[in-house]
Formats: sequence, structure tokens, C-alpha cells
Amino acid sequence: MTVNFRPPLVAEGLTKRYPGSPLPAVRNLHLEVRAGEILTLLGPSGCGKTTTLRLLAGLEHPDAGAIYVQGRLVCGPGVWVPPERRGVGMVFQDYALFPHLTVAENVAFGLRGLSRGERERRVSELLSLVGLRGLARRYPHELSGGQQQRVALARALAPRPAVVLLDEPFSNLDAALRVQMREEVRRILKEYGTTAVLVTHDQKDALAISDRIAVMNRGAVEQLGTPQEVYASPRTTFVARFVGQTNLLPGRLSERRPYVVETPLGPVPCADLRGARPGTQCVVSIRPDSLDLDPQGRLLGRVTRIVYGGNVLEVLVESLEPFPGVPLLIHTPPSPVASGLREGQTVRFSLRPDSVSIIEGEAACAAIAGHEGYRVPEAAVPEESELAHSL
Amino acid sequence: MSRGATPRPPFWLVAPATLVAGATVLPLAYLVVRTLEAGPQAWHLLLRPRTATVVANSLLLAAAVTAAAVAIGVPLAWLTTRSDLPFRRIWTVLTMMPLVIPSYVGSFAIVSAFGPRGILQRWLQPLLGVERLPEIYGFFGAWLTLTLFTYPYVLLSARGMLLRMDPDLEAAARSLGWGPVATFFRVTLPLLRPAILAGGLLVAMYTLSDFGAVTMLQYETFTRAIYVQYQASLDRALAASLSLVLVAITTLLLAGESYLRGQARYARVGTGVGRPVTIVRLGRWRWAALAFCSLIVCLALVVPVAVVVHWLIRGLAAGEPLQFVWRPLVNSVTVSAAAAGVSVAAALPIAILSVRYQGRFARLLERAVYLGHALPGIVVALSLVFFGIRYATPLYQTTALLVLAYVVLFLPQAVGAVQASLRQVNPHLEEAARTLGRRPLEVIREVTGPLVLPGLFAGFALVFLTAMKELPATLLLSPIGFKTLATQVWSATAEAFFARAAAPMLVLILASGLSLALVLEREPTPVRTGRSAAKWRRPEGTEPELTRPGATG
Repeated sequence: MTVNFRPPLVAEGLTKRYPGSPLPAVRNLHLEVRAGEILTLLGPSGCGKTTTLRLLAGLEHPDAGAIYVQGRLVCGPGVWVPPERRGVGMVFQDYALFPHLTVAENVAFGLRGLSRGERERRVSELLSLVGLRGLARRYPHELSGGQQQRVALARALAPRPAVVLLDEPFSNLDAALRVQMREEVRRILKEYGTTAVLVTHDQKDALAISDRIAVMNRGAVEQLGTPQEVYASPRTTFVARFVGQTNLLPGRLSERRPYVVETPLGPVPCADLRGARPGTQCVVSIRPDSLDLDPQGRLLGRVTRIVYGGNVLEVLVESLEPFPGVPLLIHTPPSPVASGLREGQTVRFSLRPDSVSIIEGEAACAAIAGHEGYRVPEAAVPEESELAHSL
Repeated sequence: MSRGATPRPPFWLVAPATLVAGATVLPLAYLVVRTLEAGPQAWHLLLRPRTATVVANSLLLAAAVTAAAVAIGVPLAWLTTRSDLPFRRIWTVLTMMPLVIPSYVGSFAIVSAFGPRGILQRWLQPLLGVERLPEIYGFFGAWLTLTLFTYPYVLLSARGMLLRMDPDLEAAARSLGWGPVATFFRVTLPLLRPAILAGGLLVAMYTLSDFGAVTMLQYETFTRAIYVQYQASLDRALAASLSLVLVAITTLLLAGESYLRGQARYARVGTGVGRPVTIVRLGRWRWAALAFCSLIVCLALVVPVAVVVHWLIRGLAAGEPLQFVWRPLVNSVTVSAAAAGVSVAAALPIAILSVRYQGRFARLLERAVYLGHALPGIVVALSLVFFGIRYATPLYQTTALLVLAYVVLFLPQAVGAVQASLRQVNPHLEEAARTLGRRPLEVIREVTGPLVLPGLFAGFALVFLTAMKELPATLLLSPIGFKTLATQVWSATAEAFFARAAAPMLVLILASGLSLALVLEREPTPVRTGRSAAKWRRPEGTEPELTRPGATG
């Protein structure tokens, strides 16, 4: 590690097991946060993302692993720096504003060793950054949810921490406010030039706000990349299913034609093979938006269900040609043609290679392998809630 | 998302907490040692027929009082929460008020009013020529008195449950075709059962540890037998072994009560505030309901207060000097305040440890402290007397030992109050303070402390007011010549200076009235709208913690 290159936050091999639970909450987790970025830990509830955040903040002791803040070891074998000396800020899910202090006193809470004037200057600077100038003397219970969140953020930013951690920052806000605060929080973090790690279970939040996303499952990071990378080329079946909806099919890399995967739908073009060798067994992830209703399309199927979602129609199709019996989910804009669709009708459709990716490995194949050759790609029969989620 | 595992508690919490827990276990431990020393002799004493009588009397009284308290408390709870009883709000307050009458004051009032030649007889004589009323002493008097002054435990517990219960459950039963009566028996009552049992167990424990009423009404139970044994004989082994049997029984009840309290918590569905409950119309039954409420309030509240006022007026008319109030009042306030201060200070480490570091060790310490609930005042007093004579002679016959007894007895109340307010402090606040640069002790000073301050005050007030009323320990441990309000009442009534006892009694009733108001303040209230309701100290979903605030007589 050179002197100039000091990432704000590094975790190496973090492991945390709670007494009484068979599996570790966090297992051998590696993470390097780059200066100035917004990195999101995305995963289902119970995947260990909040525990990771608490380990980074020093609110939990790991069983193994090390944590560096700006190159300084704050947690490792024989080393334990308590949270108050780590220089890591935290925004709690419930904001945790001190109810006995005013907004200004809350923001000033972490400012120590400054003169009175300096402190007041910093507080008003931060309050105008988060757009709460006039509310300095209010008490937290007199604020709306969105305002409380801004105060919590200002309070965490005030001592200029090396990195600020945000635990499920949008989960207590209603849908409309959520979208607004997403933009607002990103603006504030960028304007202040802060490095941030945030935790969420909502893929929309993650895709919208992050510079990079770490998708977590069962205590470990399954994929780390930009939102585009994670969405367009998921590295595991879990990531493919958790971030957006997808159709998963078993496949085998063609030995005769480059960039083609043999699947139950026939040969499918795939732009990014990640260096896999021809002949490899794999899983193909086809995002529903890569499938188009197309009268000239090569593929034929019967419509089994149509879910109207406002700006998008979700059409569930069971393939008839060239290979029957594969259920597929297609997203299509509600055009007049699409709106005329009825359940039971046959349609032609085609496939674009944009959001087609392959997932290698026996685990991936096992994950979708089923009875009688071709199993139903699971994501193509989404549960009610999953459908609702994507609307 | 607050996950269970907390780091190991710091030494600066563990050390004082262990010390406190050790001090509270001391009396009981000493009692055990003392009994073991007596060896086979203790067994011999315990196996005497008289012991069997005492056990049978105590259990009989406890069972009879509990049954009667449930029979009074549950209907009152339902009437005041679910029916259109006229003046419901007023009845709610009035029916709880008997809790403020210390049992020795209550039994004095009952004897004075309904005794063979009491006030009632004097009224009846010119009208009906009644020469003597039937005997009030013994089982009947003790049963009547204790029932009248303990049924509010059942009432409060059942009320708490009725207020917390999700009204939608009853509405659902109605929508499924059941009428109000069937709904009560099929839904309401089963949901109430844990609360009724918990309240009933409180009554039973109170009855077993009560000293004032049974002694004054001359009914031979544990506490009276222990006291008589202590007074009469120099050999205290029997008193010690009787005490241990009593502690064993009350510990069983306490275990049952805490188990049921847990059950009662499970039965809660949501915080259930704000939604209106279906009010049952009483129709013609309202007259019966009103008569029932009036009878209870009359016997349990009007009679005692009227008797005390009656004697006060007679005393003032006869020129009874008020000096008998002043000195004891000062003494009572001094020792009670000292006990309250020590209790709150001792409660703080225990409460923090048990709420924030929920490990096996913390639970153990908490249990040790709550043992005070199972210890009747007379038992604690007795063991401290023994202990003082043997090992702490300089302390014996000082108020310090009396204060220690109060702390052992009432520490659970202080711990409960501090815990309750600590549980309302979001642990994220403390963590936030850590990430903003505060060390653990600074967090307590700047965040936790200011936020639990109301709890500290409540704990102080509760212990203070409860200690004011305490009788048996005060009687045994007060230094010679040190009179408090409670001992003043005791000796004045024993010597039949009723008029002299009246003023201290009134002060005691007022003091316990204040402590009741403190407990009831925590009863859940419907959500109010507007800014005043949004105070940060709002006690969300809290319930009145009925931790035996009354077993002082």
C-alpha cells in the first residue's frame, strides 16, 4: 500500500458469527471502498449487510478479519479502536436523533474541540447543505420523516468522517418521498465529497444512487460492480434473480460458432462470454427486456398471463417453437399491438443480445437444473410480490 | 434492526451491580445460614402442629382473598373500559383508590367502623336496639379487609389488558355472528386470563406478606406468627425457619407471576391505541352496575377515609396536640428519602446492565434484585436484626440498617422504573453518540442520563412513598425512640389512642395516593392529536408496572 493510495475503508476477511446461529452472519468478507464513491451493500434481509455496516462502524466485534480506515488498522488481531475514535460516521435506519436536543445541537454533537463560532458556522453550513436552514431550533419530533433524515445525515457529516455509513436510509419513507430523498442524499454526498457505504434491500434504491453495488448473499459478497454491470451481466444466479427479473435457462457454449450459446430456445447470441471456453456448461440469463414481441420473430409461444404495469406490460409466454414448454417473461411497452394481446393467444417474438449473459459454474447449473431436462426458469414465474415489486 | 449479541459488559458496570445484588441477597442468605445452624432442631420446630395451622391459615386466607379480589376486580375492569356505565371516568379513579389505604390503616378503619361496638353499632343501637355486632376479628375481618384493599391489583391488571387488547379482535367476533355476551366469554375473557392470573398472584403475594391487617385483626398467619415468635422468645430459630417457609411460598408465587406476565405480554396484539372499542350498552343492568360500584367504593374508600376524619375531628376537638405528627413526619421523610436516593443510585447499574447487556450474568443479577419482591418486610427486618446483632453491631439500632431494609425491599421498584425508561431510549441513540466521538461514560452523561431522568425521578418517588408506609421492618428496625408515621399509627392504635393516630394516617393516605398517581400515569392512554401529544417523552405502549407497590403493611 503506497502512501498516496489510501482507500477510505478496507475490510479484509471479516467474519462474524452470532452465538446460537449455525451460519455466520458475515463470512470472509472483502471490500475496498474508493475515495468519493457511493457503494451500496444490496441483499435480502438477513444477508448480513447491516451486520457488515455495524462491524465497519465498530458497533460489533468481528470474530476474524481486519478493517482499515484511511490505511490505519482499526480492527484486527489484537487491535480494537472503539467507534468514537474511528472517524466513521453513521446514519441509522431510524435516524436516532437525540430527542432532548434541537436540530442544531444534534448536528453540533460530533463537533468537538472547535471554538463556539467555528461550531456555529459549521452547523449552519451543514444545515444549508441539507436544506434545513430555518429549522435549527426545532426538536426532532417537530420534523417530518424526510427532514429527520436530512438532520441525521448532516449530523453524521459534520465531523468530516473518512466515510459515512447509511443503514437502510430510505426504508422509513413513503414511495414518493423515497425517490426524492434518493436524489437528495446523492446530491448531498457528492456535494460534500464524502465517501459513503449504504445498505439497502431495494434494488431500485441501489441502482439509482450507487457508483458501485456489492450484492450480498448469506454473509458474503457475490458480485461487486457498477449498477450497469450488475444488472446486465450478473455473475451468479442469485444476483441475476435478486437484481431485476430474469429468465434463466441451461445452456452450453457453442463449439462451432463464437459468441453463441446453445439453449432450449435454440442458439442465443451473447456479447460477453467472460472468457469461458467453448463447450462449457452454463446458465444463460435473459432479461425480460431483451425479448421483443415481433411478428417476424423466430420464436413462437402462447401467452399464459398478462400483468398490466402502467409503463410496462409483463407477458408470460410458454414457448412452442423451436422447442416447446419453456416459460418466459417478456417486458414490452404497452403499444397498441401489445395492448391487444389476450391470454391463450400465440405470439411471435425475438431476442436481442443486449441483456443476455452467461453464468458459469456447476453451482449455477445445479441451481436451475430440474427434472425432465428443462426446468421452468424460475424467474419466469414470478411470485405475485415479485411482480408487484417491479411495477 | 437491533441484533442480539452485545459486547461483554464493562467492569465499571459489573462491579457496582454485583455489589448491589450481593447486598440484596444478604438477608436471605443469612436466614438460610441461621436455619441450617439450628439443624435438626429447626426441623423439629417446623413439624409442630402449630406450624401446620399457620401454613393452613395463611394459604386459606390467600386463596379466599384472591378469589374475592378476582370476583370484584374483573367486573369492575370490564365495566370501566367496555360498558356505558354512567360516570365511567370517575368510577375508574374511585375504584382504584383503595390501593392508597395501607392495610393497617384499613383494618383500623374496619375495626373502628364494624367492630362489635364500633361506629356502625352506635348508629344502629338507637334505631334497632343492636347491642353488639358479630365479632370482626379473625378470619372474616382479615379476609374482608385484605380483599377490599387488594382487589385493585386485579382491576389494574385486567384493565391494562383490556386497554391494550386489539379492539378489532372483539369487532371480528361480532362480525362473525357472536353477540356481546358470547364475545365476552369466547374472546375477551380468554385473552384476559393471563392478566387475571397475574393480578390474582399479586393479591396472593400481598396477602401472604401482609403484616398489619392480620396482626391487627388477630388472625394467625405466617407474618403474625413470626412477629409473635420474635417478640416472645429469645430463641429465634423458629422465627427464622418460619420465615424461610414463607419465602419459599412467595418465591413460588413470584415465579408464577413473572411467567404469567411474560404470557400476558405475548397476548398483546399491536399497541392497539387510537381505535375505538365497541362499548356495550348496559340498559337496565346499569342500575345493578352502579349499585355494585357504589358498594365497593363505599366499603373500601369512603368508610376508611370517613373513619380517619371522624377520629381526627374528635381528636382536634379534644385538643389532641399535633406534635405527635411533626416529629414522626420528619423522621419518616428523612429515612424514606435516604432509602429512595440509595435505591435509585443502586438501580442504575443494574438497570443498564439488564437492558443493554442481556447476558446470563445480567439476568442473574436482575433476578437477585427482584428477590426483594418475594421477601415479606417482616422477614427482611428479622434477618437484618439477626445480622446486625451478630456481625454489624455498630449498625444495629441505627437508621442505616432501616434504610438498608427499605432498599432490599423496594429496590425492585426503582430498578423497574429505571428499566422502563431505559427501554424507551433507542439504543441507536447511544451508538450514534459513540460514532460521533463519545466514550461510553460520556454517552451516559450526555445522552442516556438526560433521557432516563424521568425514570430516575419516578423510581425515587415510588421508593420514597412506599417506604413512608412500610410498617413491619420499621417496627423491628427503628432505633429506640425513633418514631415514624407508620410506627406512630401502630402504637397509637395498639394503645387505643385512636384520635392520636388519625393525623399520621391521613398523611400516609396522601403519600400513597401520590405513589398511586405515579403508577397510573403510565397507564396507556388513547392517542391524542396535536402537538402536545408529540412530546419526546411520550410513553409509547407502556403499561402500568404493578410491582407490588403496596406490600408495606
